[in-house]
Amino acid sequence: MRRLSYVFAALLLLLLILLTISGGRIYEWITPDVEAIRLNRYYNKGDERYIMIPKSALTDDGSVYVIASEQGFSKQLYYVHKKTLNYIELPEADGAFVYVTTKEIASGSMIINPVDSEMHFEDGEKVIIK
Amino acid sequence: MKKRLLLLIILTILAAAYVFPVVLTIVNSLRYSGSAFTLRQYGEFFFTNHTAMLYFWNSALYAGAITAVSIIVSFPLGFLFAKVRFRGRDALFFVFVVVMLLPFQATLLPNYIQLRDMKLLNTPLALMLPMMFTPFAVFLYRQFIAAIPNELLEYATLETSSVIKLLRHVVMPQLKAPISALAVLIFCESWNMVEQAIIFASEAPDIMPLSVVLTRLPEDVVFAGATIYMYPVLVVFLLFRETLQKAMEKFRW
Amino acid sequence: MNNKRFKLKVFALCIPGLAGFIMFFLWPFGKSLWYSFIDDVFHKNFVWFDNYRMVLGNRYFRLALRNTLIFSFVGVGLLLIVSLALSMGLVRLDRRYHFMKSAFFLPMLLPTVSVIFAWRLVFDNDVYFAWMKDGGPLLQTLPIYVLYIWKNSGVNIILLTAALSQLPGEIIEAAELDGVRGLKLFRYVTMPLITPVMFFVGILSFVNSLKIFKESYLFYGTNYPLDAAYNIQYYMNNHFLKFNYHNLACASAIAAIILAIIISLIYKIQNKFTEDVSI
Repeated sequence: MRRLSYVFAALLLLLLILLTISGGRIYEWITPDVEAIRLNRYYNKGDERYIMIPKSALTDDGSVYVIASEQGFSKQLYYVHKKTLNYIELPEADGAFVYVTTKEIASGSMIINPVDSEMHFEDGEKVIIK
Repeated sequence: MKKRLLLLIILTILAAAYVFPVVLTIVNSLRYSGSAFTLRQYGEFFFTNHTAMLYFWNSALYAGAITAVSIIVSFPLGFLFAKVRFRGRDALFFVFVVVMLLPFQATLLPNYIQLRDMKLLNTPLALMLPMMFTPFAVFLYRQFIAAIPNELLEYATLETSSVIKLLRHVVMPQLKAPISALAVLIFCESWNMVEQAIIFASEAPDIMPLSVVLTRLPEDVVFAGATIYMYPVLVVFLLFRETLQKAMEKFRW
Repeated sequence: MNNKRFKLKVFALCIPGLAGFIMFFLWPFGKSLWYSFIDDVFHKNFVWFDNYRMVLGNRYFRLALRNTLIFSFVGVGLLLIVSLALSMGLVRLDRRYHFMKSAFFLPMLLPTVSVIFAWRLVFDNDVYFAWMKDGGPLLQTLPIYVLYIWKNSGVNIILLTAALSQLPGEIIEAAELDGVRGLKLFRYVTMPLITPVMFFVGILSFVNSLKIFKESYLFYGTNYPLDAAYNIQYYMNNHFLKFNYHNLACASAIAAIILAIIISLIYKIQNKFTEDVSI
């Protein structure tokens, strides 16, 4: 019985050592990578400033995944957040972009660029930016 | 008979109440935002906050070093106070006892000044050195060595004149249980170190023990961290429970 | 054995331990005492007891000292009652249940930081908040009393159960035959027999009552808790953080003196008591 307890304790200790060494790497392994773009382009029409979002960045139901970042304990953490937009298409521009007012989304926000990443995330899921 | 049963029930309930905080901590470490049984919190602790475990090993280093050194260094001193007669022995021992009984804050400033003058502040040594020379170990050694019959020692000195041999082959075998008990107590006390770290290493956050860092973890992993931090103490407790109890019962002041 | 050479050899082995003790406790304590008598690190003017007068006159110091002493006395009293009650109960149990003593001893070893979150949960309810608002100082600091008793019963219980189980059975049986039972039995037979242990347990509990700062600090999470919980260690800690080394040195000296007085008083009373009790 006592021998068994020692073995068990040693095994747990070994587990802790392994987790310490590989913890960071495992995080990167289980967290999906995405590519992100910053919404820096805008278009002024009259009094309104419109942020330009590439159409390719929209999901099927017309929303985008906004990336919020936060300083976590060990590293910078990125959360995704699905946001439904009220966008308009401006006739005078080319059809590659949709336009939203700055009330909907702030200039300089990051969203996921789904060029080669899949677009099925849960709200609040963490991602790593490539 | 019925009275006995009632007594047993009451005491069992009280014993459970004493263990309750431990159980509560472990149970809460298995929950994550509502769901009842999940390992998610541990996942968050080990992976998302993976640097937290580095502090765990800081604690392990301090506790291990402090325990080892204090056990070794205090042994001859305990023998000295117990068996060797010299002038001023009792007065000096009284000083040891008074210092031992002082709360940490009274020796805080002296230790801080000394460490600062030795330029050891904000280094790991600052957290280890003061506790390595705690008079508590000397006190316990002395009490247990005093119980060894003098005739045994007299007889042994007839065989050999080497003090080291005497200590190693005659005194130490008598102290197996007390040494284990002392090691457990010192280990747990140094594992619990908080104020020393905050004050002596205030500008070196990397060498902090996990006890200090635990309160700064994000709230949703706090219970997992607490359980992990508790685990060595629980293991030591389960393994040395009887030894500790027996040694304390034999303790004479 | 006690010839000069032997003593010198032992002494040689003690050098590391002694050196460490002197280096980290004695010498700096003297230096801190010196600090308490001067006004400034730069000028090093000897100001005699000015610092002490200032500290003793400080409202917060008096509050801290009062809180500390109140907590020590009330806490030790409660702890002794609880420990004794539990010990007497445990001794009457069958031998195979004696392992339960370990349950009471576990809290002493646990790292405070680990259990403090669970305790905060326990006290995170409306009943306690109501007490905190209008209850007197004792109810306000109830968590600290609870934590103190929870943490320190174990060692007392082990010592007391050992003493109680070693009581000479014949005396108790003789008393019971004479018709002394229950409370009388306890007061006139049991208590005098365990008086030495009780004194030791009392001193131990008193010393531990000063160590409760860690629990209090982690529970309240701040350098300035409720007025009723403001301890002398909080005072010292805060002055340290504000670099008021002189006040801190005075407070340390005062605390050490009071501690030494109380302990020697208890020791003297104990000696007087154990003289009267001889079988």
